Order: sequence, then structure tokens, then C-alpha cells
Amino acid sequence: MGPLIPSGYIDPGWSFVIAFIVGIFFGFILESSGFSSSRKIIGLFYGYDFTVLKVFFTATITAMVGLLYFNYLEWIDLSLVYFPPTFVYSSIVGGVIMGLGFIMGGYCPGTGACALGIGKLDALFFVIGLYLGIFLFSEAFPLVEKLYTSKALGDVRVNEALGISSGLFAFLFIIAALAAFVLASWIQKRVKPVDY
Amino acid sequence: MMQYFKHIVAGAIILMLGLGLVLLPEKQKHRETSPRQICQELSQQERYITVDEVADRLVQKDPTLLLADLRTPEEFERFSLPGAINIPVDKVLDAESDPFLNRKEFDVVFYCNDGTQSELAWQLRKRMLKTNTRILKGGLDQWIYDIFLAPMPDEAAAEGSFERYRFRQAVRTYLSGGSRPFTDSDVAPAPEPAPKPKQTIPLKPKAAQPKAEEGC
Amino acid sequence: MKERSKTYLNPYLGGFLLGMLLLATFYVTGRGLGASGAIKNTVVATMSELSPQHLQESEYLGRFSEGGQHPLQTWLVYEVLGVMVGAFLSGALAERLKWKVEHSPKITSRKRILFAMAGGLLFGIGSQFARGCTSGAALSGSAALGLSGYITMLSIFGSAYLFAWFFRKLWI
Repeated sequence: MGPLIPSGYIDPGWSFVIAFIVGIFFGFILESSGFSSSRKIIGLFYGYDFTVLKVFFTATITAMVGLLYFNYLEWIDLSLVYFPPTFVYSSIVGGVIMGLGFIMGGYCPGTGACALGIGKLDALFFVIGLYLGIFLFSEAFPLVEKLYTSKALGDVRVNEALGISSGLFAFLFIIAALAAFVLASWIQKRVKPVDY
Repeated sequence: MMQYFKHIVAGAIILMLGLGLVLLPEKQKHRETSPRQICQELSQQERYITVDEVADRLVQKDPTLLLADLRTPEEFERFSLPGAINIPVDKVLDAESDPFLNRKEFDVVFYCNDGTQSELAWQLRKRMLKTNTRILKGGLDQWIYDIFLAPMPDEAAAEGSFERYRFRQAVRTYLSGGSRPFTDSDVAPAPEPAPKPKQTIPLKPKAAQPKAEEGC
Repeated sequence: MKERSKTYLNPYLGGFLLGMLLLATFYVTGRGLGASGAIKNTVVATMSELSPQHLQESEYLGRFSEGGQHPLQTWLVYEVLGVMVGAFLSGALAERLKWKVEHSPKITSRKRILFAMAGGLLFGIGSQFARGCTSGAALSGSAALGLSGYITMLSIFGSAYLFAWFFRKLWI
């Protein structure tokens, strides 16, 4: 029967209330996992703290496995679940720019809002930067429109692109995530701890 | 080893769940809209879009409108609606058509000569759970009748029909650059009027204007 | 070190809870979590206040301002407001509320702020190219098995590792 709002079980008028509640949980979980500290987040890239990797992959596999089981049990119609359409080059370029922004700024937009919530002033400036960046993108859009829309594949799923079943993909992804967890703890033990 | 006990248990659980997903039969492949449901929807009119609405959106240059011509390439070559792409009816289920037809940001409208093939294509795609398509009601026949022939309503006609008549005339002028009104001979073989407003577009994805999608 | 990590949630538990929240969000709304979209809407909102005409002419932002609704009346704006409230609650419970600029002792606050702003700027640009950021495209997109989510995730983390060496003085 799900997703509830697109299938008409819940009136869309509730969606802002739901958004706010979802946001509160989101912020609470992010903050209590330590995502309000840029130095903790960025530890991922220097090997002294792998919290981001652990949280991120655990969350992804939990939600993915849940979605696939829900779909199997027909509790949710996976074809109604939104994900951004694929524009290969635009995604790669965007990802690389975001990676650079990540290592310089220490936050991503979600964790930035979270850090701002507990009073981190660097996060405030990060969010101001975000604002300016989006404005700049919009002003320069005619210059980059070609890249933005090139190589459009539509709403493609990763398992379709690889030519395997969604279940097999999830299984392989879980193995990869578990391997990453083991590797991460192994590395962390060998890297000089950073006090932050 | 003991200190990792909890981690190993948690890892084993998620691995088992993942393995379960591999072993479960792929549900999606076999899923389709049930014939009963399609039958129910056949009595409803929501899958149709009228000639006037399409014409209006063409004039407005609505970027979300995607016209899909289901006739053969030859017919398409001879005459097609402005901006349409050609997807012959036997290709509507092909994966290569999906970039055009299975896009949430477009209103895909099928048209053919009289609407039968569009009905067929719509039903097939509906059955494959690809539902975001509509049918040009009456097909090109209706288009030609409404837009190019545009019969003058008689005096007793309902209110609004004169307005519609004028709108259709305007569309005709817009689309054909103010050509003479079409005569009966133009439509004798209904779908192939004189190659007047010929406008074919090479088959390439119209990805240029994705509609407002919420990022992130 | 030890004591500090105790005050934070176990990362696997945090990830599990986040995954459950994401699943619940998918179940209720049919879409995942997000963040950068809210800032985009703020940009649209300020622009429509200051110069509606410029917004209309803008080929990019113009398409997000259709529909006649106030640009701030969107799902993501409410969600991000919730994020700040939720973070505030968690911070209050764990006694982490404090105005401060967090930075490595080797750099000044000023430098940290400059880099935070530059990083935000790049993140803003990148998130528009990728049609979402780490939460919207990478996390929610990958969980829903969207190809774009994986491309974005790999390029964010891959490039951050590549660039990490150049910016190591900022952090360690």
C-alpha cells in the first residue's frame, strides 16, 4: 500500500508536518552520531575516525534491504519511490566538486544544518557558502546547461545498469560494506589518533 | 574475539537478510497491472488528452509535453505534429524507448492515425506498470478535423464553441504559418494531408528541459 | 578520547536508526531525505522578494518557482528546519550546545571560516550538478537503488580522498 502519500492514504496536506518530524529525527540522529563536528566527519579522509563511513553504509544497507523486503511483501511499491534521474557526466562533475567542497568545508549540507543547530559558527559560514554557490550556479546556468543535461539515462536503477537482480546487488553491496567496516577498523588502529 | 561478538552477530544477520533477497524470486519482473484493474480504468477518461489541450500546450511551447508518434517512420516523415518523436508502435516496449517514455518529468502523449494503436500502446505500457502516458483522443484524424478543417459552429451552438473555433483557427495559423484553410482533398486519405506543416525532429532524447525536480 | 566517543552514539547503531528513519520516510512520502534543496528554495525565495523579474528570466531557478506556492513552502525546507531543531535537542541532552568555531589548533578561526565558506560554495555548485547532495543523492538515492546515487556517492568520496592530501594542514 505504501508509499502512503503518493498512493493517497495520507492527505498531502500533512506532508509539511511529517517533513518537520522526519527532520527532527534526522537531525537528532546525525547530531548524536557526531555529525555536528567537522573534525570528526573529516576523520574519514585521514583515517583517524571512520564514523561517517560506518553510519553512512549501515544506513544505506538498512534502508535498501528494508525497501526490497517491503517491496517483496507488497507493503511498498518500489516503482513509486523517487530517486534523482541519471545524468552521468553531470553527476560525476557535481560529485567531484562536492568532494572538493567536503574536504575544504568539512560538512555536507545536512550535517552543516545539524552543526548549525548546536551553534557551530563555521557551519553558519558553510551554509552561507552553500547559498552563494547555488546562486552562482543559477547565474552561470546557461554556460553549463549542456553539461547539466548531457548523457541522460532517465530513471535507471543501479542493478539494471549492471544487469543483475536487485537482491543480488543488495547482497554484494552488503558484503562490500562489511568489508569496508573491517578495513576501516583495521586502518583506524594503525593511524595516529587525532585529538579533537 | 569476544569483544567483537556483537559486531559479528549484527554482520551475520544483515548478511543473511541479503542472502534472503538473492534467493527470493525477483518480484518486480513478474509484477504487472492486473487485467481487471486495466479493465476498470478503461471506462475512465483520464487517459485521454483532447486535441485542444495538446494544441494549447504546443502553442505555449510547454517543455513538459512529449508527443510520441506511433505510426511508421514513413508516415512520420510525411506528416507529424510539431516536436513529436517517432516511436513505431512495435517499439513502445523496447528498452531504447524508455528514455523518452518513462520519464516522470514529461507528459507523454501517444498519437496515431485514429487512436487505436495509441490505445494498444497505452494498455501495454500500463500493464508493465509504466503509467505516465496519455492518448491523444481521436488521433490525427481528430486533429485534422478540429484544427485544419475547424468547422464553423452553427448559430445555435453552445456558448464557448465560438471561442473554441477562434482558438483552433489561431492554432492553425500558428502551426502552418498562416496557410490557406485545408480543403477536403487534403484529408482524403485521412492521415496524410498535403506535406504542409512538415516538421520532423531527429530521434534524440529531449532531455534538454527536465521539469523541476527537487534536488537533494 | 575514550570518554568523548562514549557520549556519541555507537556509529552502527546510529546508522541503523538513520536507515530505519530513511525507510520510514520512503514508506510514508515515497522520497528520501535531503538538505541542499532547502537552501535552493531559500535562494528562490530571496530572489522572488528582491527581484521577481530576474527570477522569471533565470533559466535554472525559474523552473523551481512555478506553481504559485511560496518558495519556502516545500517539504525540504520544513525537513531542514526539523534537522536544526533535532540537532539542538540532541546537543542539549548531551550538553554540546555552544557557540564556537571548531578548527584544528594549527589554523586560525579566520582561516577555518574562510575555508568553510569556500567549501560550502563548492558544495552548493556541485549539488546542483548532481541534483542532490550527500543526503539526497548519495544516501537516499543509493538506498532506493538509483544509479545516479552511486555515481554521485563514488565521485564525492573518491574526489575527497584525492584532494585530502592537499588540505591535510587544515585538519591534522
